[in-house]
Amino acid sequence: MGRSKLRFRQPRPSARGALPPGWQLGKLWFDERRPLLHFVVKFLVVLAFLTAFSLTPLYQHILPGYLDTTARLTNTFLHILGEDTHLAGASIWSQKYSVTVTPDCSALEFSWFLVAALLVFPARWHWKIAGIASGIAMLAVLNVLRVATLYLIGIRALTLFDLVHEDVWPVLLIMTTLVFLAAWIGWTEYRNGSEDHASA
Amino acid sequence: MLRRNSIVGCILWFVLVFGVLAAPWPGLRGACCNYLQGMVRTVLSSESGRRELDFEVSPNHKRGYDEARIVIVNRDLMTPNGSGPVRNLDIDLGTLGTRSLALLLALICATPFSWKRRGIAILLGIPFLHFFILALIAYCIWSESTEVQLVTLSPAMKEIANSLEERQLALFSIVVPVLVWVVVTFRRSDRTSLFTSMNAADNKKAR
Repeated sequence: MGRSKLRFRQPRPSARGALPPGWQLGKLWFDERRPLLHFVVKFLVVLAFLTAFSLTPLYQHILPGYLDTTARLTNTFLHILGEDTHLAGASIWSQKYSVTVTPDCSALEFSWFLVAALLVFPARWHWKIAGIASGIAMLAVLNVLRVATLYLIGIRALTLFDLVHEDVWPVLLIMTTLVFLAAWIGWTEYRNGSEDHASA
Repeated sequence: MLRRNSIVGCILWFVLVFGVLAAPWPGLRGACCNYLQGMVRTVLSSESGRRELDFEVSPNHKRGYDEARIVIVNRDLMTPNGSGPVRNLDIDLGTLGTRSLALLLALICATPFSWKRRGIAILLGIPFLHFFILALIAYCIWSESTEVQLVTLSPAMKEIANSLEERQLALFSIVVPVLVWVVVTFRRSDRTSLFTSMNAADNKKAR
């Protein structure tokens, strides 16, 4: 009986280099996506920074003011619509129904997402600032509309409240944030193109 | 170069697909919740060790939410008759799973590439999404494990861990599908992609 030997098969060098085909495919995949992976890493760093900021006492100090302002604007909007509502901090109430703007209803997570994406995307700084300002303003207005519609649904069609609160508005906010981002990228590309054309 | 007309078409396509897929179809979220619960049980639960994970139907099911209840048990704290402190973690797995999957599929479908590339992106994206859902749930379980002395954290660290858990849950549905879409769908060479300007900026820097 011969001695058994452990034998290790060496990876075969392929035509394109020393790496075996499987590794080559992986390397190619990563090489093709290197700028995208840089973008993803930078985006996550900015998002982590914003999340860390949300844990600071300064943010905790600002947040109630933001929630109260949202409630105040919603109350004004409901008055325009003819509702007899009253304000108590971040709560809007009437004889018929009441809603409270809690930190979960602030829609700030969508603003962070938008801010991180716009900051990381390569464009001119004044375009980024314009995008961030208009994006945050748009989300704040949408949030006022969200709270107002939830109040109105609470007094007119209470059975639909959970559906609108848990399904319709979150999906609408995700859609709007991404559509805004796509539109902003399209706008910057268009401006880039027209400026290149003008300089040529 | 991105054309505005094509952007409008892509946006409309995205809104339509996402709206249809994210709608609360009867039974879909329940099925997704059961599927994800089974996956969490298979991957994160173990027969040995100090931590035991039990799975129950959340009381919120009665209110129409497809939530899973994960019961975290420290075996060291249990008495021989099986009683002891436990920590309940209620996660809306149905919404988390369906909404993030719907967003990923809508983004991929709305990207103006060939169907072959979109199909490959879907095949790559779904396992990535599963990985991140599992990672999120694993983090939530770890964070909640402090309540049954499986993990020891200082009060400040515990507060940070709890806050991060809330924020991660809120951000997950939008951040993870978008990032997975970016990585699995686009390539460096895509001139029609949104990264055209990124390459241009990189080239300017290199000069």
